[in-house]
Amino acid sequence: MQEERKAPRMRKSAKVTLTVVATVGLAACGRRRPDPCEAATFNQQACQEAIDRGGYYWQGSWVPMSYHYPYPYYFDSYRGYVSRGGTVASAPSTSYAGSRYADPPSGAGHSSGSSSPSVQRGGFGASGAGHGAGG
Amino acid sequence: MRRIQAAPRADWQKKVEEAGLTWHTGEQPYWNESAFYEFTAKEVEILEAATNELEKMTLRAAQHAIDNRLYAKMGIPESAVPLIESSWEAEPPSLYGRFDLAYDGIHPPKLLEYNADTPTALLEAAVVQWYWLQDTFPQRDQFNSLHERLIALWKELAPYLPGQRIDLCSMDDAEDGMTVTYLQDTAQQAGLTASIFPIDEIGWDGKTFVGPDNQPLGAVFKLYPWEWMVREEFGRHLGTAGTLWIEPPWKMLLSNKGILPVLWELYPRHPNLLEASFDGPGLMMSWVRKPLLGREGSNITLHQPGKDVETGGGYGAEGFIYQDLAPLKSFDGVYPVLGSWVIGHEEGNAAGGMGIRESEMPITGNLSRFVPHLFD
Repeated sequence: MQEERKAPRMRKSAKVTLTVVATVGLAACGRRRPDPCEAATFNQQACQEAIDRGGYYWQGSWVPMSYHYPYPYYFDSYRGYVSRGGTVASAPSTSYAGSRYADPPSGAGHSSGSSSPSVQRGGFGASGAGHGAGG
Repeated sequence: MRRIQAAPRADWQKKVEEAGLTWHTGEQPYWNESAFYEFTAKEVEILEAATNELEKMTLRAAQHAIDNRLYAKMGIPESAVPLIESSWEAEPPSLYGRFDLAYDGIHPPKLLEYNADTPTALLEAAVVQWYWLQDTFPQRDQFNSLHERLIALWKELAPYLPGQRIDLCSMDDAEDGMTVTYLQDTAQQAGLTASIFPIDEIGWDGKTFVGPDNQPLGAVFKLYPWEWMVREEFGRHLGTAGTLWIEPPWKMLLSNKGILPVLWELYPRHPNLLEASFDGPGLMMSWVRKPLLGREGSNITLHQPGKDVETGGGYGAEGFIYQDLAPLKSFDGVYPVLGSWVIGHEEGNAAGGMGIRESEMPITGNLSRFVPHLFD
């Protein structure tokens, strides 16, 4: 009786697909929450909304920002950057949507940050300041 | 096991960036595909078996450290003990870890250390080298099912995560950021809701930890060492807050270099261990002194008769351990260290793949280069 030959078990993943990593990696260039109004990561719709709201959602988390100029200023900066040969790696608009909760947190629209007065922040992170924590 | 010189893909920078690795070149190329390591299937079986064995042994070592209250010896503050013990009893979700192994293809793999709490170099191992293989040797194999295992594990963990949601935190650092971004990606592919923010944006509202939007944090993956968390300002809230942390606090025991002498005590002369001691080099002729809570090759002393090599850094206040010097073999003048990953803790089936980093000196630091591998 002929012995059945077993195919060797492959140990590599059959398929590796990424959904957000490549886009995020390129757009962020070391930063994880690319500003939609920055020329190198410009996103027209997200920038307009960010200026109106005083911040933007990034992957569901609120990023408070203080924009000192109206939208055309950032758009012109972006156009100038492109005309000088600058590379733009915009994150998709979906990255700026998908808030955990329907509306920006209270205080958004001002430059006061995301904390309510009763919330303390910064209680973690001091030991790793200035470098990474992974190994 | 062989190191083989190879021509890098013509547009390798673009390709690795497309796979998410944006910091491939620092002072020197971090991602190095001008060479690769080739293994036999038998060698991979040996590495896989050693990894599963070490995983089992380290769990027993954690139990031993708890039973014998080795906390002070390991430089673990008393305030962290209830956290460690309650999480060990409750068995909350745990995701991954990386054993760093010395291996030459001839002798058994030897455990150098276990990064059980905050391992990085995951994207490179799981994704970037996988695409390298697809582009260069698509018919050949690679010890790497990390991506599939991570997605499968997130699916398993989903019922334990409040709201089937995970928030991922790290320092705002490129390498750490890529690791958590990749983990976010795998979590989302598993059907979880996942967001990322820097760890210093975690808030405390007097009752619980909250995210940047002031909403309570149910489950957090933190790429930030427990030994730092327990000593920082919010450390005092860890015992009362209901947040589920991944990795869990008991991983503090395994990421501590003190686990190496504990393992040696439990498994003396085990083929995958190097002799290690809390008390000094004893009869070891050549040894390495490592800080209990050291990171990235800092504050290491490598002693050989008539020759000492030391690295700088700011670690060591909690104490040191001594470990027999591993007989690292040089390949083309460089020293590879194999990072063998465990995903989850299923006995006998935790080993999920490996990544190799190599250095000019036999101490792996943050300037080591990642080199892909394959096997037949």
